[in-house]
Amino acid sequence: MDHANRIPIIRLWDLLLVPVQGDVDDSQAEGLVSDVLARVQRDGCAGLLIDLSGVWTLDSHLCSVMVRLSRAAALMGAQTIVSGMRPEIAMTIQTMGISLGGIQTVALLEDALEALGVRSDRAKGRDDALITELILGEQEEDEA
Amino acid sequence: MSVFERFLSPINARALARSVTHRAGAGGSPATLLRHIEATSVFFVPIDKREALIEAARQLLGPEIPATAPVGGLERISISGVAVPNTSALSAAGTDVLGPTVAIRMEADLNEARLVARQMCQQVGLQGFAAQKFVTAVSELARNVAKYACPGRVAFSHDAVGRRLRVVVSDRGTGIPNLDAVLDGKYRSKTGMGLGLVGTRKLVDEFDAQTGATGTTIAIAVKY
Ligand SMILES: Nc1ncnc2c1ncn2[C@@H]1O[C@H](COP(=O)(O)OP(=O)(O)OP(=O)(O)O)[C@@H](O)[C@H]1O
Ligand SMILES: [Mg+2]
Repeated sequence: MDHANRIPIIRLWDLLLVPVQGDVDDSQAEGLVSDVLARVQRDGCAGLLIDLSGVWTLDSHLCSVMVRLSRAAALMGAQTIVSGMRPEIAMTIQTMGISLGGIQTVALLEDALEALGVRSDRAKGRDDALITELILGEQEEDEA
Repeated sequence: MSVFERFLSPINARALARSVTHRAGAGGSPATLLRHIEATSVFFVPIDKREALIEAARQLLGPEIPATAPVGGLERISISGVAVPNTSALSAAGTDVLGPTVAIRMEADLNEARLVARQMCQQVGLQGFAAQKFVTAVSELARNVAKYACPGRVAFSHDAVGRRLRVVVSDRGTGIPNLDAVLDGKYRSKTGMGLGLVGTRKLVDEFDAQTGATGTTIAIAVKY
């Protein structure tokens, strides 16, 4: 397959992050499956994050490719989490009766990272600020 | 410069002009021509410019022509001059205008089918869940052609009066022998999830399938 058409696979600690974008054709999907599985095996990854926030459409074929990928990755010891599925896409595949075969899905990439044990200190700081704000009301910015 | 070029890219202006010339050659009255431009412009003109273009064309063809067609008063017209495929209840309004046709020769052609489906949605202002359902339905039907009955084609058409986008997906394959079981959800697919056709039926407002030993034709329509 054409290198430029490959879906990128990004290593994050012992995780693999796959941002899927635009209109995915079958050869890209097939390329993704073999590329990811080769990387999981080579690097001994514990988790696979598939982020779908940039995907245009998800049809039954692409869903079955993801299910196949996650099952194979599970056999190799890597858990798959799907994030960022847009509501209209989720509603479409639900209407069709398609199931993602038990793949865990979460709203945000951050949630996916958290589910795989990655927690950001910055996010925590932000949560603290939120709690403070809830308790104390909105804080005025300090005038310079 | 044609009136279309004031609103459209040169390619789209030429496509629209060609379709109108074809219509004029077939002996259309100015009113028929305007109706044709109104309906056809859906394929070529972004929604925000369409009204201005139609108004400009109306000024040229005859300002006395009423701006919008009376419902049901349209004659059956098509861009290519080919009759709109008659798919029983699906073309009851008889006001379809043919849009682009995408030939499905291999899997890569599915991208184009989805792209055109997306453009059609944009042109009629279909967004979000409704647009997603339409594009996914087209993708499923086109994929079946690529997978089981190549070659075939995906023909888009637009019914401006009934406010519907229609798609007719046809092939000359060997047909779907157990169509009833497939549509009842009783069929177990060996090649996929077996949800393409049942699922598609749930995504659209109208669904009609004809299949036999000489091929399959599936027509769908969505309201907008
Ligand atoms: N155009 C066609 N020509 C011939 N046979 C077809 C055609 N479309 C579908 N079929 C047959 O009908 C069956 C059901 O099709 P359907 O799209 O519902 O499911 P699928 O293609 O098997 O799986 P999925 O679409 O979920 O990936 C297919 O397995 C195939 O045998
Ligand atoms: Mg199918």
